[in-house]
Amino acid sequence: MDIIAAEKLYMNCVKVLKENQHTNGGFYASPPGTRYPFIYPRDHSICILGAISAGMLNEAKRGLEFMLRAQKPSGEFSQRYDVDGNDTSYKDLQIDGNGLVLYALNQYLKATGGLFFDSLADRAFCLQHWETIEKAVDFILQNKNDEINLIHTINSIHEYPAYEHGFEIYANSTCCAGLFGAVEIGEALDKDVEEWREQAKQVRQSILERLYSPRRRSFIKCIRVKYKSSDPIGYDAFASSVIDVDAVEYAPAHFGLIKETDLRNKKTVQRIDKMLWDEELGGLNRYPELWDRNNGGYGPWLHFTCQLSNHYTAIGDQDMADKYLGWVVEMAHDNLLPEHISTVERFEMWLEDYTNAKILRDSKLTMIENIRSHPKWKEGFAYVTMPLIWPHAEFIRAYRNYKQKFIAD
Amino acid sequence: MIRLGSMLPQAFMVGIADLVQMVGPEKTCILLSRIGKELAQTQGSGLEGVPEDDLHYLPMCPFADEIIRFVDLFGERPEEFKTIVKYVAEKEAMDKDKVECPAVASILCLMHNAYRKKRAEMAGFETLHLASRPSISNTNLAYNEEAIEKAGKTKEKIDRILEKGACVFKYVKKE
Repeated sequence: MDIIAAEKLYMNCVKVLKENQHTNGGFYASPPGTRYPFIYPRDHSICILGAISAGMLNEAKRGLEFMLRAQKPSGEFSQRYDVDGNDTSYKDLQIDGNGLVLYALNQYLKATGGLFFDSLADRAFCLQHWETIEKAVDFILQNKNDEINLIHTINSIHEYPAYEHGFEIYANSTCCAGLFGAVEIGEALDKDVEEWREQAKQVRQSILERLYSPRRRSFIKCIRVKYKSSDPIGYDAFASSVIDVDAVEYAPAHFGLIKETDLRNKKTVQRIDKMLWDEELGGLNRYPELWDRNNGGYGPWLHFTCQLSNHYTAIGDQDMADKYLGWVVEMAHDNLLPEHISTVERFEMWLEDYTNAKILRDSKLTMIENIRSHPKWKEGFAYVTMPLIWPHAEFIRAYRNYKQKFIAD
Repeated sequence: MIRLGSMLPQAFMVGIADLVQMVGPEKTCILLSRIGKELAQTQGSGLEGVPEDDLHYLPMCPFADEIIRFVDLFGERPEEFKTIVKYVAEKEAMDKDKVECPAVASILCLMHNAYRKKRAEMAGFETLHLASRPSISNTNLAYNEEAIEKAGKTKEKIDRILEKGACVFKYVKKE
């Protein structure tokens, strides 16, 4: 990997993160005037984690303050908000947001304490928001099915119910990590969190038993079930499994539920790398091409590529970490990162599919124009949604991990 | 048994039709609005819709499929639904605050607008419901002309948005 280029990209990622935080605390998913000028709890939480990683603890705190205040009466965090914290969601439940907010809050608490946790950790902030934390946990547990001990959702990371409606791996991993995070926060505040700990352990155990396929030697994407309270779930109208490979099957290790070196994780990552690494473009696709839901054309995503690099860094495989992070560095344009990259040919294929199927929405026309007018188009690339803030936050996290592991001070 | 579980929205509409016969359109309208407000309380503050200039619109009616299903099941739109829409139109015509009334194309617009309005109110906004298009046909579009005027728009502008949307509204920040 070109370390000088990586360093420049890192510096700009930090700048991008700072510039895209509204004064009210919300991190835009993409800058004002572009495709996603809203605050999405999922993207926003990763930006908070990026800020923590870069040592920007004030920014992280402001981001958390914004999100915790925007919680719905039910304890849910919506799909998205405007800069004033008004719910502007247009999609159904995506419960991973609840898990991510709790997880990020605990990471913030730990970061403020560092080596002197007892004296320095920002307990006051967590105490101030304790009621919100309780409601967020309760909301997750309301969506837990007691027959299978997993959390039910309609959407997850891809906002794609066809493959995510049910007990989905990313939603369960983030919610489980969020529950454990809430337990740690509670302990720091001397709260009784034994019940939460038991619930979190149940979910983790169930992820390892129900969402892992020993014969495939891989975590699987989803147990598809329509209703959260179907009892028995075998009679649910959707009852089936999604066994397709998905980049987020790495989530149990990514969120600390199992070790990176756990064989189940190593084998899962091998399958992801084998089946989702893009042979033509490099980089990691998010799911198989045949799902055919790729605005702007099928192709690798920068933030999933960054995410998986963390695995190789953690197990000390520098060649693979270089392959993954090096690709991200190469694909940056003016030190900015898009959501994903496709080819002109694949872009046209997507456009044909969506036009023929009559599912091309008006809102996509601007995106199409932007892809075609981007300088990379003439080189045969479709840069889709440029810039997206999320991959900048992921790069910050991944690159800092890489440097800490492989580059001596 | 299985089919019945997914028929709850149809059951709700059967209930509304019966209610009009039992207590009349006035009380039925009050109930629909009350349901909308109650549901809004569970969701908290929020602004729904896709922004278009300083207006918002919904690309599709969230109840369209259920209304069409209902008509498929029971034949044409029941008289009781038409009674409600007519009652609302007549009542609004005499209302001195007509600008604040919903533009009702179907009975569920009443519930939906009460929901949307309450959530916006919690966020500190007033809602002007400018127009809506019925799910069953493209005729009988509903307009609130006073609200359109207050929003500083023309009917032509609203019609252009309705070509791609189910209803149009404007949020006004409260002083």
